[in-house]
Amino acid sequence: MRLKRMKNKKKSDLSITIRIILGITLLSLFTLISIQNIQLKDNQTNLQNILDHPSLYEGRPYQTSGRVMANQGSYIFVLDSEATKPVPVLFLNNNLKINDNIVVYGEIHVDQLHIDGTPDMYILAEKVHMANSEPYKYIISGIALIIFAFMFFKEWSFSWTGFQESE
Amino acid sequence: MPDILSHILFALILTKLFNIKRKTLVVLGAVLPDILGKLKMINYLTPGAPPGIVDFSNLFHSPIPLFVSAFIVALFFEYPYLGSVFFIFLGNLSHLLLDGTTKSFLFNGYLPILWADQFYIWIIVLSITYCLLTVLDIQLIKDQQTG
Repeated sequence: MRLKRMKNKKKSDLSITIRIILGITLLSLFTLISIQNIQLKDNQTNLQNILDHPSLYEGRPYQTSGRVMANQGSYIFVLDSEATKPVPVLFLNNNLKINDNIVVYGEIHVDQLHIDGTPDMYILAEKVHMANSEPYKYIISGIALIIFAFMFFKEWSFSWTGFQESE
Repeated sequence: MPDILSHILFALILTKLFNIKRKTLVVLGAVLPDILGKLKMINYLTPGAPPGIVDFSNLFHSPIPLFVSAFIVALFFEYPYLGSVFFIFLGNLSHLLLDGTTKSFLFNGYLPILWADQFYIWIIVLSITYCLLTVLDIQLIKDQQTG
């Protein structure tokens, strides 16, 4: 009996130790990621600003992602959700099809692409990642929200004073 | 970025590891950043207006606005207030932690693991982890009952 109690105490101590180590590890990871995100935001600016004022951003590296709306040989046009119009990308020898989802990294260039001579920008692609399974993420997320709603209303019931714990 | 199912699974794993009873508050915190981020759909109701006056997605993927939102959301629950805030914010942090593992060309960061479109790998890994923890829990309860 005493041996069993000692065994249970050891298990309990081990469980607490593991939890403390895990907690510290997660907190450290979170701190690292926060530093990473601050540095990332320094390098990235709003896409619509770049499309509206391309001369200000010439030469800067940029990453965009979205659906290929048009493919004109070397130029593809990528629709990013952060912009109102597709982003021109110069991607030589590409095998992309319309509706492909991609992540593109490259340098911002400014060139006169319009007939009236107004400057426009394009990204000279250096690295491309295919992301064709991205749209399915939204379907899975929709199903997950239904599962979450089921879980939530199993534990909580709605009243006019707020959510109460279900019995 | 991982999908909502991965965020839910990760939050559930945390509740198991730290023995948190109010699981749904942590899971609510884990899904809130993406739900609140979708407030940017308001921009689509005003065609012609400058888009992204407030970038809701980025706003609700930062710790301080999420911390503030945890205080507001906790008001809707009849549960010890600070406890609710703590659990919701824990869920928020778990969301940011998982999002931080997304790869990017722009930054060879500390924890880039998977591209955003490789969300299915997260679902598989987290599902297996959650199932293993559930089995371990059942085993522990059995040991306690026989012991």
